Amino acid sequence: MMDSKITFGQKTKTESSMQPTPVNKKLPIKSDGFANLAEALDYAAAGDSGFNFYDHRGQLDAVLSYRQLRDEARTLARRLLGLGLKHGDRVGIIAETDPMFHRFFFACQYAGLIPFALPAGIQMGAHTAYVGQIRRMLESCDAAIAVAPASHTEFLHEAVADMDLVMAGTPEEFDALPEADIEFQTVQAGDLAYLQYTSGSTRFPRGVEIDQATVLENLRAIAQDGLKLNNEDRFVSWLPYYHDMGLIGFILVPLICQLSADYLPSRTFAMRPRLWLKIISDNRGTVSSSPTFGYALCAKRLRPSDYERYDLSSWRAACVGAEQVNPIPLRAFAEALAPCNFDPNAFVACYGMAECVLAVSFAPLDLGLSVDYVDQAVMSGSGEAKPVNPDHNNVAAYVDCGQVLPGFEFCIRDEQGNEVSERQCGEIMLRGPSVMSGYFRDEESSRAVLSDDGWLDTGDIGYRVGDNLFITARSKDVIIIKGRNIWPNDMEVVAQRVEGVRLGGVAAFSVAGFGEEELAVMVVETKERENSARHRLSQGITELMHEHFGINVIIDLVRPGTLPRTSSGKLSRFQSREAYLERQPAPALRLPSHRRNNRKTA
Amino acid sequence: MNTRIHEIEQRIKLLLASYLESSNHPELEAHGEITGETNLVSDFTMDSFQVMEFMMELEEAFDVMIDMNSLSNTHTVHDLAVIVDKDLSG
Repeated sequence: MMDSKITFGQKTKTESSMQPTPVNKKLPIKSDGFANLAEALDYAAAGDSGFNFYDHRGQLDAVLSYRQLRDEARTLARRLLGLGLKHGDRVGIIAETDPMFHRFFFACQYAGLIPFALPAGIQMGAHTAYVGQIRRMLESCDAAIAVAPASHTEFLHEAVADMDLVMAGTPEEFDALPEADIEFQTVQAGDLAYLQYTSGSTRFPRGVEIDQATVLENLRAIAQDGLKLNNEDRFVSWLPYYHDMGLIGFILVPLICQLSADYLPSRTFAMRPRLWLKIISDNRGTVSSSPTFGYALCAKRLRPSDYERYDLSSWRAACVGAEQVNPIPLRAFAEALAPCNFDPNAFVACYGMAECVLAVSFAPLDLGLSVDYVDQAVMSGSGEAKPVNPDHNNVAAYVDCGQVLPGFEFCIRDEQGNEVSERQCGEIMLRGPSVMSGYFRDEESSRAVLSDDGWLDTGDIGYRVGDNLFITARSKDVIIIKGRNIWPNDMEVVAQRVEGVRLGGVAAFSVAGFGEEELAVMVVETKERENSARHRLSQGITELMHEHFGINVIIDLVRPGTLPRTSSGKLSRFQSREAYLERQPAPALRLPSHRRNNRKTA
Repeated sequence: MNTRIHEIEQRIKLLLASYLESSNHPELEAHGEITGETNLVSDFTMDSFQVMEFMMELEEAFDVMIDMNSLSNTHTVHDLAVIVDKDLSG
């Protein structure tokens, strides 16, 4: 069974003999009582379970048991320490779906270093933008080390040219280093376990800092209270490791419970989403998560022959999070996959964010989505979520994201900071043992969201019914397109590279699209009247938006002075959006009006 | 131009037109003829997931495996033809 080995990231297949790691039959599940992540791995290493990596055709490509991972990570930790690194030095890992990520992440855990995941997905034509992004992240936390799989070495070397790193290279180069003959220092509860770059601002990357005690508490809560994990559970994921749901949800949660996990590369999912279902079906996966768009993408690509091929009856927790939970595409997914025994009650709506490690709330298991239908007109008027019949003519639907995990306190406040009553929209504030200590070396950003008495301003808008949370808008300052968080300010700054685009003469925001998706819009002031010049301008911005953000943007050219400004002369994105919507011929693009009322002016 | 690259390019043009048509991209008509210099992302509003979907169609049509990282320097239909040609030769 386990004779297939991967040695230091080189996947040596013994062809047909390679088998994925089994579910955890051997070890009693233990999800708390660990002093740090390294100790959790030491415990898991006594079992047979581990991580399995599938390739672009959905074939098992590499197997990494917890035992192998522990051994290899400890060896690698001694090699890293041999470089003279200090306790707490930062290690950037380009997070391709590859065993090397796990090895370096856990080598850092033993060595007392702080790992962080660097994005691995590169957009078409985006060479320069990608290199710049990697460089800014490495710079922002003053990284000592950076490592990239062979596929990304060229980009990494370009990014670190003339940077003063201790070492940057491939896993093989690190594996060739001598091992230092030193004992590991015990990693303390207050030592940082990792940094998590929020997928947003590319210009000013912010690294959420999470210490050992904080991550262990959230993992325990997810395992025991959120998902109620047991020995039969098996994780399947295509989520990238550089997103919190991929890293925490599908590397650290299985680890903390000694469970096996199966991975499909994110790009493979984007090309062949049905392989996700195949792996769940073949391996009897029980837990797998995605933002809403992943379910929608998968449903869109189903073929009639799939119905006989897949059996999804084992999938007991199909978590939905990371962006607003939209019940309509999820229902379509469940209906399409009913012939494959997909259980609609397996849907679990979740709410969370990297600033709280990963998870804040889970809807109850085995009940599916619970949808609250409210009067949209009332909501847009007073912010009250007034229940109505689903067939009401002006209805908005929100999904119950359940109660916050034990340990969290939450509170919904109005803009003056007063707590609002039940069914009243406001800003969601959180406090508890899984909240970050701040953004790494960024006092200003940390103070902007964390109060002295420990409340985190999530930036999200929602209401409560009893103790259950309903999210009506994610991150007031962020545009979320297909799971990707994009700061409007970043888009505006990038757009100004196009000749003719003026600083302060451009506003980016999102509006609800025709279907279920949000659309990004950019209003650009220009004096140009000539058609070909206007076309060049639009095309230039479109290209940059693709290169930097991988998204489509609706470009709206307007005359100078059109964009609304506040009394202090600052451009108002909020009013720009209102004005844009008014310019549109009805009923083209309509933003749900409650969001307009509840979102702050940026 | 190398005949094989030219043939690949012709085929990519047809595949792209049929992809855009099947996914109801409104720009197809407005854009007119797809040429070797057609820019895959800025001439059509294809987002990153649609780009990946089209790559899958190319992989299946040519029976190649496209090196995704090489796409970072790819902009046009011709650039793409060069990548496919390279894989067919390798």
